[in-house]
Amino acid sequence: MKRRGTLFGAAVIMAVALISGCAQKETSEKETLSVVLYANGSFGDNAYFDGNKEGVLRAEKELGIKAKLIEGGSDQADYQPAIEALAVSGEYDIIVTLTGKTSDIVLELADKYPEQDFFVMDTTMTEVRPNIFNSMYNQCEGSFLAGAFAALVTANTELEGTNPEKVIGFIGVMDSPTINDFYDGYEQGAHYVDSEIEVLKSYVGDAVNAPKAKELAMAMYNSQNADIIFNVGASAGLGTLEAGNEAGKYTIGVDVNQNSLYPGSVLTSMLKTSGTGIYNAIEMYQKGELEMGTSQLWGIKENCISLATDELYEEHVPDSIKEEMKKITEALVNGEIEVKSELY
Amino acid sequence: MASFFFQQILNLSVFAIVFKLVAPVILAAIGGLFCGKVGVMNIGLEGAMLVSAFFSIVVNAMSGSWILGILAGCAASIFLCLMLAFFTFKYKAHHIVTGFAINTFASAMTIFLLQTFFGSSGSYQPEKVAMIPVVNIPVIENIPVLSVISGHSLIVWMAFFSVVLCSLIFYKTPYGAHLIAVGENVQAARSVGIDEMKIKYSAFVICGILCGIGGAFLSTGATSMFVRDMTAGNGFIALAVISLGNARPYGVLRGGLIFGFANAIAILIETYPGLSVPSQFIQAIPYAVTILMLTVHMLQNSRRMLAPAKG
Repeated sequence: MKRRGTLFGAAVIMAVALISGCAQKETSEKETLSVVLYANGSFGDNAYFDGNKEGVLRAEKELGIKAKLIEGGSDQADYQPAIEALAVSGEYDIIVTLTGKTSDIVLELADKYPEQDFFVMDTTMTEVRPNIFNSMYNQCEGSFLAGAFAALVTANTELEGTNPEKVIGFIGVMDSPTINDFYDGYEQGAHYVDSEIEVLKSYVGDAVNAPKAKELAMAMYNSQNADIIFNVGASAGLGTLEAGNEAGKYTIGVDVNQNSLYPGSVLTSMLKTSGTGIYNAIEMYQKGELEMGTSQLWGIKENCISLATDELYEEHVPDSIKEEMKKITEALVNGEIEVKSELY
Repeated sequence: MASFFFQQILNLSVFAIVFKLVAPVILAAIGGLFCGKVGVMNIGLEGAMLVSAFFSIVVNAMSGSWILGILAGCAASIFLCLMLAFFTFKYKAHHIVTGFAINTFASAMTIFLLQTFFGSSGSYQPEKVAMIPVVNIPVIENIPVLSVISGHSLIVWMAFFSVVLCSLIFYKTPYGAHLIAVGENVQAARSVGIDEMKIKYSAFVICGILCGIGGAFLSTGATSMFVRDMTAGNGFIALAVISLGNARPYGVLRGGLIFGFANAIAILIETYPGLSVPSQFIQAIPYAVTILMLTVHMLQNSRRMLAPAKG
């Protein structure tokens, strides 16, 4: 029995080797730029991963590249072999990976496959290689805008359902440096507007438990008198947004424009337009302008971070708040306000 | 802070959270109890709830009826439970392994269907969901303390009702006696002419129905969306609750409420302003309480087992 197991294992390994061997041979001259996005999660969160996907698809349409999307799922043990398989295949000019969960893997693979170019988006890498381009979105700056917005909302009297208590909320995926970076910006933004504002902070603990996120949000609205909550909760965060709508209170969406999910309740979204980031990077690479081997921070100035100011924003947000927000955004672009982040 | 919690308990908002959190767990646990009685630890509760959560919201959105939604969810959940029973009883596969396979299958299948039909592999939020209604009891909702029993989802009531019903079935009906007989001594059951397979499969059908109702509550009662893997461990907590309840219906209710209460407190602590306790610690509270209760329970049990020996 045992021997049969070993034999089977050996057969599997051989089959895998055979397949990857075949793939290697297919490397040939390519005319169009071929890009693969390896998402270490799954699309369909209406937020982060979908934003990245849109960016790559837009590049495919507008820049005429060949794009492929791969969902890595939530099992971190899969990432390394999967990304290595992409590098081995030689099919792609650029392999795009996301977040700090993949940066170490890419660093290692970049040494092993010096011919392969990598983009590592949305994380700060302390060291890079000549064939890596790394960019971080200044989510702290964007969260500053969200915080300032929330502070203006809770102080506002025109909006229905707001109470006099100066309390705003924050519900994040989990207690991690990246998520806390959102919080840091949010708190700074709120305190920039009014230093007396109290900021509540909670974490769902995972990215899928929407019912729990909803209960956390409900507790913030009902027990702590929060008027508005900043949702940084991935798929689970959809529960936060639903709670805001159900309680007749307000929320701020994240990563992509979530305003239309509950119009009038999701007042705005902090756009971490990772799509724009990827698109810009690909465009620059195509033109040969991208400095490989560098690590850059992209924020409001680079158009990678903003608040979603669509028709719904125009319709539901009071004019006084809109004007204040314009001033604050300008001050951020001019560098009059400096947002402090512990990450970069 | 202590006064804050006292106030929360006093104005009963904590109970609203408890009931909402605990209803799917109790339903799944009672379902698991039926399987447990015929000698199978049903690890697949999680998967059964997940497929139900998916199919109930899909059918709900298409038909505009929450009843049809629940029925569809139950059908999917029964199918999965029967699959588990089939492999376990017909092909003698180990039920733990099969249960895990069922869970993985449920997770992957729902994601696959999401992707195929709704072009998204993360979540599904239909425009209109007919939410499972909330039961407001006319006079009682205005009476201060008694109002706690008003304003809960229909499913919350069904969860409590399932406990009572389960107890009646187990201890007052011939079917219950057969169920217990099959689980404890198959030979004895066979010798008196009980159709062993019929009893076993029926237990899994009942489990499927209960998990189905619990799953439907997650997507069309507690929220109005489906998020991949949204059961988030509820099925496994149900298993712990069965143990905690000494595999008795009212024990399950008690165990479920303890867990729900710990969870509700964790939620209230989490949202309390300016707390310096690390959030991971707070999130561990419900599980720590569950382990603690299991330990206490085991100690009690071992003492009970030893007692006659002493006497």
